Amino acid sequence: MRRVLFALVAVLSFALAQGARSDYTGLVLSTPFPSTTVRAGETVNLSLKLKSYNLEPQYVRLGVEGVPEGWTVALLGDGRPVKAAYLEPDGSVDLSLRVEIPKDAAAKSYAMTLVASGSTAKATLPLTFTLGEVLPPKVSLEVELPVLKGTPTSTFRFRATLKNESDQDLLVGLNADAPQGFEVRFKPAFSTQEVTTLPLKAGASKDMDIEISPPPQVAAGTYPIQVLARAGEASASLSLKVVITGRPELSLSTPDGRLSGKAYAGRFSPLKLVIKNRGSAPAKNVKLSSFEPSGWEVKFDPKKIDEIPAGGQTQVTVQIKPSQKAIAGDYMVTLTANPQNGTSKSEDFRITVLTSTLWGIVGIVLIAVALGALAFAVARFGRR
Amino acid sequence: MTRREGSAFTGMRVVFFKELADLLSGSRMRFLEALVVLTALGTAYAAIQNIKNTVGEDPFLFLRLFTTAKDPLPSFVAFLGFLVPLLAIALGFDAVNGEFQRRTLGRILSQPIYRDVLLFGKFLAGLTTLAMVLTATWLFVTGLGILLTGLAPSGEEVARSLIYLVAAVAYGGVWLALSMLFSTLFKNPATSALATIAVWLFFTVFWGMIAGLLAPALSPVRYGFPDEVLRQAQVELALSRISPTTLYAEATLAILRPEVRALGPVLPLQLQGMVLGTPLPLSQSLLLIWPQFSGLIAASVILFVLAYVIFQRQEIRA
Repeated sequence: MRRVLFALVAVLSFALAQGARSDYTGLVLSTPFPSTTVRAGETVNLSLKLKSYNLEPQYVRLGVEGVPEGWTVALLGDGRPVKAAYLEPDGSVDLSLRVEIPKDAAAKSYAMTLVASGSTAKATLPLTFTLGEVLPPKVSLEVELPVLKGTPTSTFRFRATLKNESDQDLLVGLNADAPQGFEVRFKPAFSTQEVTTLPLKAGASKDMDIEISPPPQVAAGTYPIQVLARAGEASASLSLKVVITGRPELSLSTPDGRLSGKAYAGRFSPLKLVIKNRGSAPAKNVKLSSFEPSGWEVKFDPKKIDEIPAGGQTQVTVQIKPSQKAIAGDYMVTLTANPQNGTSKSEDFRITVLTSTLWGIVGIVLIAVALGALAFAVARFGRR
Repeated sequence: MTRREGSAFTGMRVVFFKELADLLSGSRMRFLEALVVLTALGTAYAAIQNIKNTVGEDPFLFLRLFTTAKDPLPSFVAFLGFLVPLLAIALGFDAVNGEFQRRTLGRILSQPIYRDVLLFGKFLAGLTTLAMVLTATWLFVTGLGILLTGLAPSGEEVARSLIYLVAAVAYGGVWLALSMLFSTLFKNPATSALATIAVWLFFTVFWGMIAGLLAPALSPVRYGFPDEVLRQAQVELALSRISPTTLYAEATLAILRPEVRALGPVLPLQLQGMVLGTPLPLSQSLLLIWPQFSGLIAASVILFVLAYVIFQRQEIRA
């Protein structure tokens, strides 16, 4: 029962709506925003709609009345200037009005009237254009986390939001004032593309990444970086800070730079090792260790270095003793320096093992014995 | 038997140069020289063709000239491995009994020279002839290599190939001394030649097999422990090193291939951390082959002493 009632109500209201619509007879000329604010020198396009209700087909003349002096107005249909439209019963056409406002127009309201006159009906549409004070271009730049901390090798990424707070599209140029050696890159958010300017539509905002790479040899400390976004006279600046914590960075080498040495099998042979700290903080408690073939012995003198200052170096003597049974030739020995406050550094050294010349002497003795036998035979059996 | 007066080497120079002249002018020498030159030409040419096709960069490209084989030709060193004994045997098999046969020994010894000097002179002349032939061959191959590859050998390559040359001469010395020993032992030159060739064949072809059979008998692997296997391998190697052919092959291998590190079984433990494929310094390669090298020299001296003792005790009045 209730269902039937609902259906009845629905049908009735539909019929009523149809009836209300078909009640109106005449021409209608409409635009969504008949009163707009514009700037001097601007060209405005207004979209228009002309529709007939319950009229016979007719020819409709179109015109604009009351155009302010110096203004250029054109009615466009399908992109071309038009003077009239032909409407079928209940038909409609889309039009647009292009209004070119002179640059020197005074700041006040201007009115004009659009007129559409057919043979049996007429429609008018009053339009108002208000030339107000123009908003100056304005941009703002904000960052979530203005201070970041990291090591000299890390990349500092600041997420910033650039906003166009004016009513016009802007092309915003980006600049940074960073300490010597710091590299600053601007990237739109979630993009790897580097940019120097960002186009921003009126009122729009854009997220971007400011990436800062400090030079690898930079000393520990706090470094201020000024970022400037500029569009014409409008500009916004942002103060960022990069806090670089020191880190030791060790390198292993020999005084002459060669990573090779010689050692006799079964004997300790010295190898001078130079440990350099090229990092930004002193390396503390540097422990030295080695990975060598089994049966070998590697001794460090000293075994531990208390401190290597940043940019400093230390010499260590490494005693390498290859196994007594080692075969002559090249072997890899890995030496590692491990500071307490940083990552360890390993280097492969190529050690050429030389064997002792003992067997050479045995061979000479063998030949000597043979020659001795010859001498004995000559002495014993020599005869006339 | 009376004791000799004065130096045992009086007149050796005369015997040496006379023997050298005889050896070098003999028709036997022509054949041997032709054989060696043909060998050198063939193997070196084949090796160069092979090197040109395959080897890109090699710090010891020139040494590959001696060791590269191309089917069906063996490498230069392998060829010399059996040409050098042949040459040495040909030079020495009738050194003493030939003089007996020609009834010239009495006439020579009636000259004012000691009997010692005759054998010394013959041996040294044979060795010098051998050295001359091998040096000429070496120069021939080296020259051919420079000509066809357009590369000059480095100092170390020259040093290594010269050491190889000396080792080849020492290897020839063993067979020369052996052939002279047999030529004093047997009265008939044909017998001594056959005996020497038999010994050479025995050591070259059969000794390896015999060593392979003897080693399990001397050092059996009972439980399959690694050290048992190792010991057996070492025994087999030691046995095979009795043969001069093995000594020559090992010396050649280590001196002409600088990347060879060891000439015996190597434990995996010793391989740990080793950078494979890198060349040994020349001094280390030399040290590696030194036992082989001194073994060859000592063997030829001992064989010569035997020949000398037998010759000195022989009745030579025909």
